[in-house]
Amino acid sequence: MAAGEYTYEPIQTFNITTNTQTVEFTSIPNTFTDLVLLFYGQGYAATSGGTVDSMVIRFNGSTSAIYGSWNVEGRGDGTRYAFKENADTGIKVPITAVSSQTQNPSLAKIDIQNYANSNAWKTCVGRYALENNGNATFDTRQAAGTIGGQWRSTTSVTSIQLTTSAGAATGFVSGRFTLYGIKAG
Amino acid sequence: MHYISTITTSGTSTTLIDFQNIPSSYDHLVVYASMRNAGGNFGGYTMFFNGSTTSDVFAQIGIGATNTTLETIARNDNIDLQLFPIASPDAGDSYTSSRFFIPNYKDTSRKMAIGEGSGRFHTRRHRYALIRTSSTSAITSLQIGNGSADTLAHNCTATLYGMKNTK
Repeated sequence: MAAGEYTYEPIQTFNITTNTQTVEFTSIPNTFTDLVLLFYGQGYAATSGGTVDSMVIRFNGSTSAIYGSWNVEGRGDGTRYAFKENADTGIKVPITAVSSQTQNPSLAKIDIQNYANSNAWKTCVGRYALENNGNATFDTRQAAGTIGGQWRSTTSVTSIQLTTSAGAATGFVSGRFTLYGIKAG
Repeated sequence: MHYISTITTSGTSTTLIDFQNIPSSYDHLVVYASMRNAGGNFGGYTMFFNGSTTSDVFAQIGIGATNTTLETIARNDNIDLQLFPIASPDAGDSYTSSRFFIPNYKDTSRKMAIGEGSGRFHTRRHRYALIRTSSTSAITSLQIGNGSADTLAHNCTATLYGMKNTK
């Protein structure tokens, strides 16, 4: 590859520094083969010291229970964990949830394949990591894992919404969200 | 993703792949590496930043498998210099393959990276792990190796890419 050549083209980016319930990538062009979503930040939770919750990925604003998620992760206490949800209202990626943006970051890189296809259900695969050293009353998980997800719709993806689950987190306290498109050839 | 540079080892005295003077014009870094040691079975390597294997506290957490045994990498607050597998001369001509994602490398906050390494050394191993440093310094150089006198085989290759959040 020649110096200066781009394979990931930034589509849209958000830098959240105050509590925000939902981040939405809109008007996603259909000119790419795949999408890549990067996240670095934290969900918001009022719990002192923080906990772990989920970032929820939805496509085209759909909240129907036609999403699936499955993951495997290794945890800092030496245990390992697997998760599966087949009829959920979004694809769930574990993230930290804290009261201050100076605490306990998490990151995720999610590849969304074949998003513009109008004949296939949409799938994604990604990696995530988080480190919550918070209040032992809550979830002090430190983990690195891989995740797969599915949206059982043949509709082309034109927008992506990111929010948090109905657990401890209520939106994001901070975050850098970037959506890239991968071009063929 | 923007190509920055490639380093390929050519001799038997190289102990580190060392990317120096990383430009600050990107938002994230990505590294792909193909690794093999030159001598005995020194087992593994890791990535570290700004040349430091001692002054930073690392937390390394992950999951993997050695042959058919599933393994968990429990939290380790001291850098594990053999975190990811590296091919050894008793494994034919094999090299191990790995990739790393380092977001927000120029921020003045603690750095987190996720890495994945896979391949055959004297056993087969696949590992996926979080690397976290307590250092808040911007990353200006990046090293791949195990920080000892163990040498890398010729034709180990690592390529550094930069990613921007905006066009």
